[in-house]
Amino acid sequence: MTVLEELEYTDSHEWLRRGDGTVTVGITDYAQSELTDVVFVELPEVGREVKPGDEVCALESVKAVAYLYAPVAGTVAEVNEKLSEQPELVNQDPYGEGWIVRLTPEEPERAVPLLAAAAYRQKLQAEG
Amino acid sequence: MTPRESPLAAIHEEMGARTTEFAGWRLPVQFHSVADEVKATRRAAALFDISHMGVVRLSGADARAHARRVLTRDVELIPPNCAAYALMCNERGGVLDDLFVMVESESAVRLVVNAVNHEKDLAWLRAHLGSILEIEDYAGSTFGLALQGQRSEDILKAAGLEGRLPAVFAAFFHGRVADADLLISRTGYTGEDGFEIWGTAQDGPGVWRALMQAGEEYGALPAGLAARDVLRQEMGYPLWGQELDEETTPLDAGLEWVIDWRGEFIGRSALEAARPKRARIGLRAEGRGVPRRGAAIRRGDGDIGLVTSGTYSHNLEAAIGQGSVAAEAKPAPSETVHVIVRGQALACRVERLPFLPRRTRASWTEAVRRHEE
Repeated sequence: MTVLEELEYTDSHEWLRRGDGTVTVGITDYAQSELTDVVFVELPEVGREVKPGDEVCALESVKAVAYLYAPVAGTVAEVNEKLSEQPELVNQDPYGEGWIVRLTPEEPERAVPLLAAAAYRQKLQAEG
Repeated sequence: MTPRESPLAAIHEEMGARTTEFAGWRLPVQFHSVADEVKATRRAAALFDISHMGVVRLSGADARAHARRVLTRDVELIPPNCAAYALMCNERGGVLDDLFVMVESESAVRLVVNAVNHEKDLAWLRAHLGSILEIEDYAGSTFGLALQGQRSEDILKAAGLEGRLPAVFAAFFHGRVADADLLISRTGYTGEDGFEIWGTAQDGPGVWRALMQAGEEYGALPAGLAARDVLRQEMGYPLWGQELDEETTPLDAGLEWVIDWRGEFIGRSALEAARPKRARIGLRAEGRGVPRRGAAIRRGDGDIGLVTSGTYSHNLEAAIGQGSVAAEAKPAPSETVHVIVRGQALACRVERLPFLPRRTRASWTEAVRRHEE
């Protein structure tokens, strides 16, 4: 499973990339592989306010439904519209073209516990 | 409890299958991508491990006639070397299990039953037939494979099949592949032409390898339970535990065609007096979302029933499902109903099942009918 060094992670298998005052969020390679074949991504509305741990959107796969949880409090600044037509990008390129939402975090930041790459890797190993 | 392992467990691991526990067994859910496995089955062929299915053999004088007592089908009408889909009902007419009955002769029949009901079925059979027939349970000593898809016959032959393939659906024969003696039945759970193959446990890996090797040039893939579930849903086939249970009668599930009213069987009098309370319907989502088991089905302002199973079909490029609704509120085909998904109403078109045309061979029943005419 790919875990990128430059990203932060959550216990619920989201990744975060910081830049330009926003936080981009997606699901990890491990999460997409567990979920398999994503068939719909129910994108949230831009402007929606979320608290840490809120369900941001549902991801439907062949097997089950999973949720993306907000890692930080903030406002939905942008959603990956491409996923409406190509939900499989979440599987094919989870850290790149398969990003899901971009949040503008609240100041000061409120977040769920975040893990560095090494800690997330350890967590995956522990879970087998 | 440690789950039971298929005789093919080592092969699954070698191939990197993701496994799950199902009905007390550790089984492969998928080998690579569910979508690829589903598409390969419709386009060429796929190989499934079905070793978890229970196989029970009833034998003794007039075994076929006696088996009639526990089945909704008139087994006496099934010729030797032919099989049929049948239900086993309780006295109330509820479905104990759905199964395939394979008639070997007047004095021997085999039942292929759901893993989840295997023990219960055995107890039921022993209680009702144990004093007159020998009941053998093949649990643990056999393997089962389902080779499904239009290229299945080519693959069996390319794998060096010895024996004469029956040309009709639901007929079976004894054959050999990779030096293994096999019982091969032209049946399946996918709506495609194909075979279910039974043999002695230790021969399983050799037969699997021979079929996968032969299947490669045809584009066959190994496939798991997840693909099997999508394929059966595309065909509108019921799954016991979802569309069927002991409180559901064949009439409630749209399976009256599986009842032969000629002759006595357990549940008959209850079914004769019963009227269908529920109806089974097919649903095709028009919006984005998947109707999942347990979701409410709304027609106009009222809830009329629940989704019993649902998934996404890559062949139809739509989410599909089945539902059980109150018989008096049954919507007509092409009517739009709503399924409540995460508090939102997902529009679904009611469709006749199956969603895809059946592509099996004509059944032996049609051959018999032509002969009688």
